[in-house]
Amino acid sequence: MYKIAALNKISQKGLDRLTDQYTIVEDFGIADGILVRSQEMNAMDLPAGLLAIARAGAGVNNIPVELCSKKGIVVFNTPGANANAVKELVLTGLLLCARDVAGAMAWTRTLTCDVAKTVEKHKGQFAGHEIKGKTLGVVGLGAIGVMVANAASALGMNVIGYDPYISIQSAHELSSSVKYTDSPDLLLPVCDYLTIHIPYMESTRGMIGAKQFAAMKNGVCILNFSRDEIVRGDDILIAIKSGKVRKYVTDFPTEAYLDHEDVMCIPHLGASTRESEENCARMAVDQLMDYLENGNIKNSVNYPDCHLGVCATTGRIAVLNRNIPAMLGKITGILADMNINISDLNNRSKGEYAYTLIDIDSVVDEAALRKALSVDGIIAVRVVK
Amino acid sequence: MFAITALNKIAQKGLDLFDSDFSFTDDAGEAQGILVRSHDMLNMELSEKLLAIARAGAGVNNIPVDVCSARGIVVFNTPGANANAVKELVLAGLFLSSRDIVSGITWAKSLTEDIAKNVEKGKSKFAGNEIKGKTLGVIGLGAIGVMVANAASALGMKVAGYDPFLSVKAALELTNKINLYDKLEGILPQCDYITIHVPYMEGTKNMIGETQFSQMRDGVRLLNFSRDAIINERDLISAIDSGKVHRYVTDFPNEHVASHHHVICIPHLGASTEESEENCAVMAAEQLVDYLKNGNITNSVNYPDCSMGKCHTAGRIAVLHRNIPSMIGRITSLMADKDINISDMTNRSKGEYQYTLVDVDSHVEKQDLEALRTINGIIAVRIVK
Repeated sequence: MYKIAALNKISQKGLDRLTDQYTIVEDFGIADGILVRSQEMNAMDLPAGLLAIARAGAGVNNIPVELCSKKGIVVFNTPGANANAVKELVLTGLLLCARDVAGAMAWTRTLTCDVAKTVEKHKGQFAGHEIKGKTLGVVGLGAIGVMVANAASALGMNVIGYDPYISIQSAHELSSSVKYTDSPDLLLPVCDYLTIHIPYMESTRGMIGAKQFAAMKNGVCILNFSRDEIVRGDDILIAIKSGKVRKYVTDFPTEAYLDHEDVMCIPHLGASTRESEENCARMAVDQLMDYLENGNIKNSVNYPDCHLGVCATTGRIAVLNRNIPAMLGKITGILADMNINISDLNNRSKGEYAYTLIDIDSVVDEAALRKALSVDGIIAVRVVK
Repeated sequence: MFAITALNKIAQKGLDLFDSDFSFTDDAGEAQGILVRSHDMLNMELSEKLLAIARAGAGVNNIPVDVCSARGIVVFNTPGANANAVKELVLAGLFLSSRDIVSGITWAKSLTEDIAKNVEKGKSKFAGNEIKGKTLGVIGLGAIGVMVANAASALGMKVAGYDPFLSVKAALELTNKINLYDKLEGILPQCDYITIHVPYMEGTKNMIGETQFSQMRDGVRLLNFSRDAIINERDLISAIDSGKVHRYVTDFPNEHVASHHHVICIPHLGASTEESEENCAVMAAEQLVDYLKNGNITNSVNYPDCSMGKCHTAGRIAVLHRNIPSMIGRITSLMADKDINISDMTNRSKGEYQYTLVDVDSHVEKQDLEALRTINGIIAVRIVK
């Protein structure tokens, strides 16, 4: 029986997938697996028996990933599960940027008499533009960027995608009507709209600043549904003031932006849809179950993807180890010494860490195995079956 | 030299199309051609000199079309010129009826301190749903309906279309992913969203009422960018109050809906984009120029489409007449009597009216055609060249 603690409210559609092998516990201190959304875990004491944390969502800033890696706790997230929710909000942002529908709706609400007549008389102030035929630059072609690029292209925009690290999967999914460039010089000067879909990390922090604004068209609209810190706040306020940037749509309101007429602040609603929440919950639960039951890893942020399907042999051993020389030789050598025959083995690495799944032809005693494998570089050993 | 009067402000791109054969006058009584947008012409005196009215836009309720037909004044409109503007606003309406982004923006603006924290705390009340995978019913598949249907399909919606008068042209443009129904009651029960794109006329007035609401799904979102009178307002309001209609998005605010909590009122902005205005002006101007210079008719609401390109013979005669028996015989035999040889001739009819363009091999003087004007059923005769 696996014990699962949910630190946030997790959609029922996700929890429904847990079989009778699972029980939900209130005390996360005894949990084998934790389900979490936005709950801050950085200052939390991680229980000794914890095997995995599954984040229903993409960002893992609320999880002490480094610490988890060292302790052999696999951290999962659900990339792509909220991609369509974000995509649809980006399209809304584009359309509301092109035409001040939001302002017009608020204005209409204030009308009390002679509404139809007043509307005809004053609606001219809300006239705007169409997005068809305009050029959209998509910075970052991950799951969300690709969906935004394809949708905008289907709506008649000229779309240019920029991503020097584009994956084969993204490249394959990108519509052939989207132009691709790996040079910002070919992107920034031609865009009427620019939308940012890159992960936040040290190297992307402040990536859009004065230098980039200087290279852009006058009157460009910037959309940020990625992370506030990717756009330099001071620089964009200057760019707005000078007219270089006509509108800034951000999903990350801050004090600096709120009073600004040309900044549209959406209260972090990118992933706030029922469907996204359900997708995230389903994905998080599925990944957690597959890891606990089968030792398979998919969409972990700290350990590599590694699968052997459902174990068809007598036993399965999972070893989390450091990605240093001679580990595999040591592991297999020790198993040989214990007279354990290896049927299938899968070993994958990711950065400093590696994972080894081994299907074996005999029953193995977990305590004895742990003892035998307590060598330098081995982080955790688990007998999955 | 033709005199043109613009009764409303017409986009410069359109005005630029009138070359040195045209001059502009403020006196509509002197004009052969009138350009108009929303100016009410119903009580206007129409001068004897007036040959055509070109409406930059789709609706012609501000023009006395019947009077014009009877007097041989060709009335043009610009169908499709604003279709993309409407389409994009319908998409915005779909998104805004799914997620309360506008209230979210307003709420974010009201925050004063600890913005990021308070956003995370309070944002859940603006969570909504996605349009992907939902079913959209499109009632009316003209230029706009087809574009909306195709776009929604490209964004991952299931689309059901209804149009008892579907044209071949529209059918060709419609993507084959869209399911067509020949009965309104066929699509109403399956739709999560319904959008109306039928012209307003006697047959479509109140076409959505109590019976139709009762056939819809509970919680349906209804979008009206067509005309308010197409929906029975009393029945609509009870459907909204009962929760049958979760959101009503309308481009036609009035006293009854403007302040309603579940109604999204847009102040008649469907066609209010710079691009749409330019498209309409360009189309209206092109059609007016082509009619005055060459006698060709494209997109008239009261006379048939009829084009023979530029005249390459010695002369061209245009005859507007009633669609009654033996008209062509009389016109051609009268020309034969006058020894005018017909090089090419096109004759087209539309309802009660008909148009005949005749290219002739000799120069024709006005008096040659006097007899033609006296024939019963002939409305107007013009020597184009």
